[in-house]
Amino acid sequence: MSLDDASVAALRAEVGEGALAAQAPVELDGRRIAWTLCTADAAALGRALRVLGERGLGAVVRGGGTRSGFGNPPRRADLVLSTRGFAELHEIDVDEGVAHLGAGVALAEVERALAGSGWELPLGAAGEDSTVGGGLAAAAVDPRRAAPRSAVLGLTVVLASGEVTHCGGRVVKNVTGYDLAKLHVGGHGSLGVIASAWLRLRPVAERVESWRVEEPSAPRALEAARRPSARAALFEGGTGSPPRLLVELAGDAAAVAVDAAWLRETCGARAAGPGELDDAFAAAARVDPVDALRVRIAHLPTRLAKLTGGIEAAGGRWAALPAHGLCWAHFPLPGGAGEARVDEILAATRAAAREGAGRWRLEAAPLRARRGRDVFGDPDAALPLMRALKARFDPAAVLNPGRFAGAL
Amino acid sequence: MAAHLDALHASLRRAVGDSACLTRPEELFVYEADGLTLNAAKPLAVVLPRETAEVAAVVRACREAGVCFVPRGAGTGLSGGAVAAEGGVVIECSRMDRILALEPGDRYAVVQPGVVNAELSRAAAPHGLFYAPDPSSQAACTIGGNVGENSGGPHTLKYGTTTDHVLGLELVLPDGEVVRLGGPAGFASGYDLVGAVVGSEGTLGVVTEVTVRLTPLPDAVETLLGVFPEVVSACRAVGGIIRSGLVPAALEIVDRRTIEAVEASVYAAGLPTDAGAVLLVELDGVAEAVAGQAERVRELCREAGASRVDVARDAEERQRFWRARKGAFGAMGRLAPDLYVHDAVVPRTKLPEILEAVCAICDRHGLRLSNVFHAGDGNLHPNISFDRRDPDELARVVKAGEEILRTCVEAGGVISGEHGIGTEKRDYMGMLFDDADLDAMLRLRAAFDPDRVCNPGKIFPATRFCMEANPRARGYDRVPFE
Repeated sequence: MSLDDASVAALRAEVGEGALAAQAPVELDGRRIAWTLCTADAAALGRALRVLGERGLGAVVRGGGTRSGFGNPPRRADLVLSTRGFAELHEIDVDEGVAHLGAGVALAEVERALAGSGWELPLGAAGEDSTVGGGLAAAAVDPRRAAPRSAVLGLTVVLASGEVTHCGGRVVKNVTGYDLAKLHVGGHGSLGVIASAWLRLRPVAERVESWRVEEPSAPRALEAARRPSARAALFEGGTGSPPRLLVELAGDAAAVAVDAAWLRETCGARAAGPGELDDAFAAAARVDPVDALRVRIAHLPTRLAKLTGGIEAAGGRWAALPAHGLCWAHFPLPGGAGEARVDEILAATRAAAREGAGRWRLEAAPLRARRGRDVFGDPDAALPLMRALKARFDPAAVLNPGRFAGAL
Repeated sequence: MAAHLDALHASLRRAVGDSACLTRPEELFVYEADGLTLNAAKPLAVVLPRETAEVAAVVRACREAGVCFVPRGAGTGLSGGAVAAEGGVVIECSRMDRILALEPGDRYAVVQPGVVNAELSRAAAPHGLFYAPDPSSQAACTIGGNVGENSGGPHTLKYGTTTDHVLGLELVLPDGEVVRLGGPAGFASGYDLVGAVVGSEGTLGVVTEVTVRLTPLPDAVETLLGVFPEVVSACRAVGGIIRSGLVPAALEIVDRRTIEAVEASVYAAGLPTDAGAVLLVELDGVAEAVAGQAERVRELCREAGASRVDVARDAEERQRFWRARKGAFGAMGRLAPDLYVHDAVVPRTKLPEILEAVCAICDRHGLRLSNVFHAGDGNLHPNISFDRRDPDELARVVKAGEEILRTCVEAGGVISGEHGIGTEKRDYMGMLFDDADLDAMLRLRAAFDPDRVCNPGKIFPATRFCMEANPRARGYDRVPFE
C-alpha cells in the first residue's frame, strides 16, 4: 500500500508541497511506508485527514517513534502522520506550574527549558526523541511517573473528520463537559491526533537520594516502595538473578532522611548511584523484538510474589514497580522457537495476570509472535463500547487502523 | 397518557417492589430539585433500587415505556444534574449503600454508589487509610454522585479529584446491559472508559458499583490559619506558597462576610470577625517534614501581609477550623432565604484581580456576595445570597452569574471546577467550546447512549451556536445521532 499520484496531489493541495515527502521511509511491522506528512498547521492536518477518509487510506500516527513498536500490525499504512511539526513550546508558566506544549516537542527539550525553574515534567521519556504527544498517546509509564493522565489539563486534538477540537483547559481543576482527554491519553492516536497539550508541572524535589536493597522479599519491597517519600521503586529478578530493589526518595529533605534511615535499618539498604534506577528501567523496557517477548502485567500489589513466581517458572525475568502494581516480564524467544513457545509464554502470562487479578499486554515481540494475537491482551468486556467509540470518532478507520485493542 | 403512566409505574414496581417506587405527588415533590433549587422539574416516578439487577430492570422498563431516566445520589449536587429536566424516572441510589469489599493491603474498596463519602473514610480509618476526595457535603453526598460530578473538595490540591481515585466501575448502560470498566489493578488495556465516565454527570449510564483507591492517612497534620486584612493579600500568600514548591493538602480562603455568617452560626470556630479574610492551610506528611513546612508557610503568609498566623493546637481545634470552612454554606442560610453557590476556576495568579471583578459585578447588580473557595486550585465559589420571591433580584442574580463566568473565562479559566454543568450552565458551554468541541463530546455520548435516554437536558446547550448556518440543527440534545 502506498499513495497514488492523485492522493499525493490531493493531500499536497491541503497541506502544501513540502509537508508531504517521500524521503525517509519508515519501517513498521514489515511494511515500508514511503510517505510522511508533517505539518505545523492543525487545520491543514484536519483537511488532510478528510482527504484520507474520502480516499479510504490509512495513516500511522507517529511522534518520536520511540514507542511505535507497540500495537497490533496495521490493517492499512499508506503514510505516516508525524506530529513533529507541532514543535512549538507555546508557554511555560512558572507562577502557575503549568505548560502548553506542542505535541511534537521532545520531552528532553522541555526538560532543558524547565531547568532551574523549580518545575519538572510529569511525563517520562523513553529516549531523546520521545515527544509530548507520543508520551500522552501511549500513556507512557516510567518509575517516577505512572499516571500521565493526571497531568493533562487540556488537549487540542485533530479528529479524523477534520475538526480541530479542544477539551479541558489550562487550569488545574475542571469539570466543564466530558473529560475527552482521558480517551486520547492512552488512545494511541486511534481517536484523534494530539496537536498540543496543557500539562500540570511537578515541583522539583528539594532532595533526591537513591538506595539499593539486595534480595528483599516482595512484601518488603512493597513496603519500601510505599514509603512517603519513595518517588520511584524498581524491583527486579528472575532467571537465576537474586532480586534487587532500587528506590529513589525525593521530596522534603527531612522526609527523605526519615525514609533513608528506615531503608538502612529495616532493609539493609546501601546508597545507589543516581543513574542506577534509570539504567535498570531502561534495561527492563528495552527488549530486542527479534528474539524476545516483553509483557506488561498490571496486578494487585500484594500479589507480586505469586506473579513473579509464575514468570520465573516459565523461564522469564521480571522488573516491577511494586507501588503501582506493574510488572514487566521478559522471555527469550530464540530464532528457532516456534508458535508453541509463544503460546506457552502467553499461557504463563495469562496465569500470572490471573494470580495478580490484573491484565496483561504484549509490549514488544517479533511480528511473528504478534500476528493473529491482540497485543492489548485478552478481550475486554468493554470492547463493544470501544468499537462504538472508534466508529464515532474515526468511522473511515483512517487513524492507526487495526493497531489498537481489539484490532480497532 | 394516564394509562401509559400507570403501566410505567406498574413495571417499575415489578422491578424494585412497591415500597421502593414513589409515584405520589407529595413524594415526587422532594425530587424536583437538587442542591440547585432554581431549576426544578417533576419526575414521573422515583425508584430506590438496592441491587444492580434492579437498576437494569428499571432501565429496561423505562426503555419499553419510551421514557428517559436520571441517576441520582443524595441530591446534594449544585448544578441541577440530578433533576428530571425532561421528565422521566429518577433512579435514586441511596439505598445501594453497602461497602462490598475493603482491601487494606491493596488499598482499594468496592462500594455501591449510595455509600456516603464520609462513611467510606470512616470505614477505612482503622486500616490507616482514607478516601481522599472530600466535598464540603461529604457527610451526606454519595460516592456515586461524586463519580457523576467528578467531585473535588478542599484536599484536591494535593490528592486530586474523584477521577484520580476511581479504579473501576460497574455501569448499567442505557440499553439495560451491565458492563464492568477497569478494576482494582487499574491500567486498562484499551480506552480509559473509567476516566470518560467519571464526571459525565450520569449521562452515559447508571453507576452501580465503584472501585476506589484508598490513600494512607498521613503521619502528621498541621493546620494553620492566616489572618489577612483583605482577600487580595490572602491570594498573594497562596501564590507565594505555590511558587515555593510546597504542596499543601489544602489552601482555602474565607472572606469577611462568610466569617461573619459562620461566627453567628452553630459552626462558629472563633474566626476573627475583624479580618478581611482568613487563609486555611493544611500540611500533611511525615512529622519531621511538616513542622518545617509549617514554618515556611508562616513566613510566606507574613510576607504577603498576614497580621497573624495561628496553628491548630490539637485535633479538636483543627476540626473546629474545618467545621467553620465546611459549614460555611450552611451558615449563609442566615443571610437570606436563598443562596446561589457559583463555581468557576481561574489561573491562580489571576485570583486577586478576578475577585475584585466579581465584587464589582455584584456591587453593580446590588447583590450580597460572600466568598469561600479553594484558592490553591484557583477554584472560586462566589456565593450570592438572595430572595427568589423577588423576581427582580432573581433576574439580577442570574445576570451577575453569567457575567462572573464570562470574566473567569476571559482570564483563562473555566465555568466549573467541581459542581458540573447540569442544567445550570449548559447554555454557557459556548463560552469555552465551539460546535466542533461539543460535537466531539457528543461522539462519546453517542457511543454509550445513542438514543439520549440517560439524563437528557444536561451539559449540552439547548441551542446550537451555528443554527443560522445550519437550519437542520435543533439544539445539541435534540439532533438524533445518525
